[in-house]
Amino acid sequence: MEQLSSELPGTTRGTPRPARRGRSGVVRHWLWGDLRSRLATCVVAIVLLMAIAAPLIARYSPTAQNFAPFLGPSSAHWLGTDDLGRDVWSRLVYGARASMEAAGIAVALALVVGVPIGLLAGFRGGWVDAVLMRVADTVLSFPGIILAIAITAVLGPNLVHSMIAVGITFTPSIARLTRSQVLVTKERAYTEAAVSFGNSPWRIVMRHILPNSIQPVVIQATFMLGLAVIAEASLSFIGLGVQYPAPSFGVMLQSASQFIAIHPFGVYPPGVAIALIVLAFNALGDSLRDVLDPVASTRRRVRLAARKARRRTLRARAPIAVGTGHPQAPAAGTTNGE
Amino acid sequence: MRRLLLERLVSLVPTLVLATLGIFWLVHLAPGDPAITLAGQNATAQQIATIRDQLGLNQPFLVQYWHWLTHAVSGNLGTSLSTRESVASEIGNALPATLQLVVGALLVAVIAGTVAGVVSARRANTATDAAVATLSSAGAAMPSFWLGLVLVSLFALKAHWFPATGFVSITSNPGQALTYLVLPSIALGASGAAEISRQLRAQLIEILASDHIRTLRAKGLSERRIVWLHALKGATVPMVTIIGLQVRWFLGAVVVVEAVFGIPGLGTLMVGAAQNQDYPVIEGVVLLMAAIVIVVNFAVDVCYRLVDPRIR
Amino acid sequence: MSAVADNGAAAANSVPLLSASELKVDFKLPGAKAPLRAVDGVSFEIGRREIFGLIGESGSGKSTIARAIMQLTPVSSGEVVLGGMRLDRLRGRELRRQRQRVQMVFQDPHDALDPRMTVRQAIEEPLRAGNRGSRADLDDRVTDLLHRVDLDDSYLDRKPHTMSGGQKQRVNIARALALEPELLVCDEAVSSLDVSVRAGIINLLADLQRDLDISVLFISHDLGVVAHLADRIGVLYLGRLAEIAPAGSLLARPRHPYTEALLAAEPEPVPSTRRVSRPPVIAGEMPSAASPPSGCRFRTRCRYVQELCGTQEPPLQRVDRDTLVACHFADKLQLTGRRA
Repeated sequence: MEQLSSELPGTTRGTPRPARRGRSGVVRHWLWGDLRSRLATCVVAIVLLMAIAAPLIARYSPTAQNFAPFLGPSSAHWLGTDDLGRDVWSRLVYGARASMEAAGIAVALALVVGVPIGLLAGFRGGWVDAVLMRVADTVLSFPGIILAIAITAVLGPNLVHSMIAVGITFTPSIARLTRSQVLVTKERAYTEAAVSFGNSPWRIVMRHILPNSIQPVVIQATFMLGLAVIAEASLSFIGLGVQYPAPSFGVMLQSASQFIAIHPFGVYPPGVAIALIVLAFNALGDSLRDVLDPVASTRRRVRLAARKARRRTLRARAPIAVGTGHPQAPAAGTTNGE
Repeated sequence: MRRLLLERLVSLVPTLVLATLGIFWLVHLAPGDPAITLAGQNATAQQIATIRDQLGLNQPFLVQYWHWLTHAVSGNLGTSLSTRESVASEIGNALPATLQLVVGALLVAVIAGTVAGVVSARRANTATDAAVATLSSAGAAMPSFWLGLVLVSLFALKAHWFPATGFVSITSNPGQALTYLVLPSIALGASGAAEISRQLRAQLIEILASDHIRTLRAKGLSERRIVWLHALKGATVPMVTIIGLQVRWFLGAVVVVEAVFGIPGLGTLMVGAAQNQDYPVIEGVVLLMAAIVIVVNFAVDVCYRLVDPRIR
Repeated sequence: MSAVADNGAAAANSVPLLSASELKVDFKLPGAKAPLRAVDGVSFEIGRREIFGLIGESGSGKSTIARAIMQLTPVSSGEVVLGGMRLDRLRGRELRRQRQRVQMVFQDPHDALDPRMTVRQAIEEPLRAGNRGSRADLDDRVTDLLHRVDLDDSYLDRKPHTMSGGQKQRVNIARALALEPELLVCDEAVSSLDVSVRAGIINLLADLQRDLDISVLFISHDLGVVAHLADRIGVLYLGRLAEIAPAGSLLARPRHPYTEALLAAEPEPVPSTRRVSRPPVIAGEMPSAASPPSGCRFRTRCRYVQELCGTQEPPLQRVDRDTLVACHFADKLQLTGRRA
C-alpha cells in the first residue's frame, strides 16, 4: 500500500483486513472449513446425488413388491424390506429425491415471496410497511403445521401443494428478516449517496439494499431447508403430502409405524436419514454464519482457542487426568453464547 | 399499567380480525359445495338449493364472514360435515387430551431444558458442554414424531414399561393417565428442551459473569446456591418469553405426535377433518389454535414490557 | 482560499448559486406531541466559486441543513433554490436529474462506500446514474477523477476495507465530483479522520475548488478547520444562524457573543498528535432543541445577556456591508477575536 505524502508514517491505515479470501475462498471455507462442515457437505452432496441419480443408486424399483416382507439388512437388501416386500434402500433413495424437491419448493417460495415483501416494507415504510407486517404477524399466529394442513386440505393433498403450504408458513419470517436488514441498510451513507446521484429507487434497491441485506436471509434459508424436510415428513406421515405408495420419508415412516410391533427396524432408516439431512443443513447454516459474520466467527475462534488452552493446562497440571475434561469453575472471561 | 394493557389489546384487534378473516377466506376457497355434502348422494337440486339458503351460502362473502364470526364468538362453530356433530362439542371432546399432552411436554421441556442449560452453562466450553450441545442439536434435528416412534419401539414394545398407544384422561384415572402420557410428552418436549437449554445457557453465562454474581461469590455463597437460586432468577423473564414462544411450535408438533400415539386430541381431529375435507372442523380447530397462540403471545408481550421498562 | 473578493458572494449583480430561505426542518419524535424543530428559519446564500463554511456544535442542526439542501431530508418549510430552480419542490425524474448538481462528501468515509463495491465501481456509479457516456468514456473519467484526488490506478480494484480513512475519503471526494456538480457539500468531511490526515484532505479540497471552479459548503464543528478554508462563515446555534461574515473579519472581529466564545475556546492551531479535536468549550451545555430558550437562544450561556434577550428573539440583521448578526446588542458590543 503506497503512502500518501500527507499521511504520517505509522498512522493507522483503517480497519485491519479481516480473513477474507475472495469469493472462492469464502465458499471453500464455508463448506470445508472444519470437520463439522466437511461432514455436512458430504452428507448434502450424497443426498443431492441420490436425488439426481436416483435410478442409478437405487438397486430396485421403489415400488416393486417382489421380495419377502420385513427382511432385515442383508447384502441383497442393504436396509431390508418393508411391509409389502419393497426394498427399503431403494425407497430411501427416491425418498431423498422427494425430500430435496420438497425442501427446494418450500424455501424457494418463501424467498421469492418473502424477500420482495421485506424489501418493499422496509424501503417504502409508512402504511405499506404497517399493513405488510400486520399480515405477516397474522400468518405467524398460526402454528406452522396447522396452517399447512389447512392449506393442503383446501388445495388437495400432494407433494407440491403441501410444500406450497409450508412455503407460505415460512414466508413471514423471511419477510421480517429481510425488512429488518433493509431498515439498517437504508440508513447507511452509501445508500444516501446513491440517492443523491439521481439513481432510480429500483436501482438503489437492486444495487445496494438487496445485496447488503441478503446475508442473514441466506443463512436463515439454509436452516429452513432442514425445517422443510421435517415438515414434508410430517405432512406425508399424516397422509397429506406425498401420497402413498410413492416413496418419501414420511410415507415410509407411516407404513413402518403401522408394523412397528413386528418390524421395529423399519422406522430407523427414514428417521435417521431425516436427522442426518437436517443436521447437515443446520451445520452448513452455522458454518455460513461463521464465514459471513466475522464477529461471530471471532467468538467461535476464541471459544475453540479457550478449549485448547484448557486442555493444555489440564495436561500440564495432571498428566494422568487427561481425557476427563472436568475443570473447576469456568475460567473468567468465558465467551458468551455461540 | 392499565394504559399499557389497553394499548396492546387494541393493537391485537387488527391481527385477530385478519386471522379470522384469513381462516374463513381460506376455507371458503376450498372446492366442493358443503351443501351437496350435507344433502347427501341422492338429493335433488331443490333440496340442495334449500340447504344452501339455510347455510346462507348465497350471501355476500363479508356477510357470511360476519355471521360465522359472531356465531363462533358465542360458541357456535357449525356442524361437522362428516359426523354431523357440532364442531364445538367435537373440539370440546378433543381438547383435554391435547391440553394434557402439551402440559406434559412443557414440563419435560422446562425441566430437562433447565437442567441441561444450567449444567452446560456451569461447564461452559468443556466436553460436557459440547456433549449437551451435540445432544441438543441432535434432538432438534429429529422430527418429534420419529422420536415418538423410537420411544414406542424401545420402551413400550420392547420393554413394556409404557403402553404404546391410546389415552386415558387425568380426570378419570390419574395413575394410568400418566403412563400414557410419559412417552408422548418426552417425544413432544425434546425439541423444546433443546431450545430452552440452548437459550438458558447463553443467558446464564452472561449472568454468571456479572458483577452481581461476583459479589455473591465474594460473600462466600456456594456455587450451587448461586446458580440455582440467584442466577436462575435473573434468567426467568427472558426464559418465560422463550417458553411462551415455544407454545406455537408445540401446538403444531402435537398434531403429528398425537397421530403416532393414537391420542384422540385436536391434532387427530384436525388430521381427520383434513383428510375428509370437513371444513367446519378445520375452521374451528385452526381458529382455536390461532386464538391460543395470539393470547399467549399477548401475555408474553405484556409480561416482557412490564418487567423491562426500557422497552416501553 | 478561493479567489473571490472578500466582500462576499452576494454582490448586487451576480445571482447566488445556492439560496436557502427561512429553512425549517421538523422531526417527528415517537411519543412526543410536538415535533422537534432542528432547523428554525435559516437563510443564507452561497455564491459561485465560493467556499461557505458552516460552524456549529453538535445539535446545532448543521448536518440537517446539509441534508435538507441535498433533499435527503424533507424541508418542512422554506426554500432551497439552486441556480434559480427550487430544489425542494421537485419530485421524481426531474428531481433525480437536478439533484446531480449538488453532491455531498459524507462524514463517515467508511459508511459512505458500499463495502461490496470496488473503488472503480463506486466512482462509476454516479456516472452510470447520469448516463454519462460509453464504457470507454467511463473508464477514462474514473481514472481521471482518481488522479485528481492523488490516488493512483492501483486503487481501482480495491475494496473499502483494505483502505485507510484518508484514502476512503479521497475516493468519496472523487465520486462526489464525478457528476461535475456546481455545489459540493462537505458534511464534517474531515472530522472522523486522524488529525495528521486532515491537512491533506483540506488542502485537496481547496485545490479542487480552485481548479474546478465549484462552490463548496463546508460544515464542521471545528472552527480552526473552517477558518483555513472558507471565504465566508456562518455560525449556527440551536437551529438558527447567529452570524454570517467573511472569514477574515469573523475571526478578527466577531460580532456575536457565541462566535467570540467559540474563538476563545479554540485549541492552538498547531496540529496535535491526539486523534480527536476537542469541541469548543463554553460554559454550560447547549439546551435541548426540543425546548429552546425564549427570546435569544444563546442567552443562557451569554456573558452579555440582558433582559431584552429573554423576551425578544433577535433577527438576523445586516450590521455591515457583508456581515449579518442576530444579536440585539451587536452594534454596542466590542468582542475579542482570535488571539494573534
